[in-house]
Amino acid sequence: MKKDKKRKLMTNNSGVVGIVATVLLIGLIITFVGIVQTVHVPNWLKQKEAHHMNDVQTQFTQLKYTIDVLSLLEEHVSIANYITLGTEELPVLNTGRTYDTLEILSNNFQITFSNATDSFSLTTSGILYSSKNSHFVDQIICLEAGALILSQTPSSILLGQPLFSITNYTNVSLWLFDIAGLEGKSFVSGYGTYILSNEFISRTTHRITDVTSINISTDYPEAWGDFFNSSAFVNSGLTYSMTLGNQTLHIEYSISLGNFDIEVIDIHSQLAIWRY
Amino acid sequence: MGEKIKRKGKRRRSSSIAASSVLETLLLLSMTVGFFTILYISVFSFSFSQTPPAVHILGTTSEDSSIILYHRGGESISIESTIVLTIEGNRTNLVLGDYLDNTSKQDSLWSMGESLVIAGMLLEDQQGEILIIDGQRNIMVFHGYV
Repeated sequence: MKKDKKRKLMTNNSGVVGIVATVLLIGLIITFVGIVQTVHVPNWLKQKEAHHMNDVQTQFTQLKYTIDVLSLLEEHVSIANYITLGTEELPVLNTGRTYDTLEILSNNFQITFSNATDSFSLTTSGILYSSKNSHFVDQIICLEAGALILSQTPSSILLGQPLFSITNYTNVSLWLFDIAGLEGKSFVSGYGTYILSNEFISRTTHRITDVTSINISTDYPEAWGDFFNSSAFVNSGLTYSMTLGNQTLHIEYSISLGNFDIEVIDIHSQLAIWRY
Repeated sequence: MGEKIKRKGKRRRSSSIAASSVLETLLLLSMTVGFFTILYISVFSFSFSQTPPAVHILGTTSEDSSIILYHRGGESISIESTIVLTIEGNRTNLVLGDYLDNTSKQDSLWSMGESLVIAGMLLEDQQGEILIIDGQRNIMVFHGYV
């Protein structure tokens, strides 16, 4: 009887040690996973999202290049470009997937050229990518009237300028793209690589002489300010004053520009959303 | 007498088994506590953002040899950050905020679209090496030559 009691006690002791060891081991694993999840995973995700933003910028520079070449060649062919939305989740941890949006905007940009007696106004549409990052700063990339713009609230910068030339100091030729989307195929939100098909439609030239002011209505006045402050315009010897508003940019030239040729390029663009 | 000796022997064996179990537990506990302490110290003495901020900086020089650094997107950087400028082996430490205009440094950050101008440091035909060290995280965020 006494022997049995002793055996029971010995068995119990071994059991307690085993449980304590298991609890400690589980605690250790939980702590390790906790540290990885709270310290390292956010950093990995931030780097992944920043890398994705660079990829999208590169894809948009290719898109701008495609549209520039299409307008110069004036060929009625459809060329596809690829835009990647969202970032993939981290392997094993299965966390960090993001979803972005891509949209063909409608009438988001307006520019008016004025001389003493007349004015010419143009409204164009563009392509807008908007990120929905969870760790890295949110960015908007917009192809607006031929200018490639990167916006990070509250500021914007120019990534690519529209096609333009200045000859004899005051003869300006500016190419502005009007990208029209197809109804039902002009907005996509989600994750994955989407195809954007672009086709040249027409090119129209408008001439206005002795331009004294330019008015722009846009969500990115700083970026357009960068363009008109660019070396080509500054080196043309023209003197001007620039007023930057919340959504407006006003440029007043002290000497009127000679001839201002505005080449309006119509592009049809659509997101290839096929039925499978 | 013989039985008594046998019983004593049994008791000693039983108590030594119990002692070894206690020792085992104590050792395991002390090892775990020690490991957790090392882990705790190493993790909490560690800055949580050891990865450099993802930022695009463009460095160039103007006609009058002023150094211009443009923030071209990504994370904002503290104006307390240090610019380490090395020209012909001479190293100078500059505070980033001193070279930003007043409007740009209102939010105490160097953000996208803002540029800083370092005038009078570089002579014509000289090359400078620039390092920007983030003041908050003590990490290099930019390395370039102008």
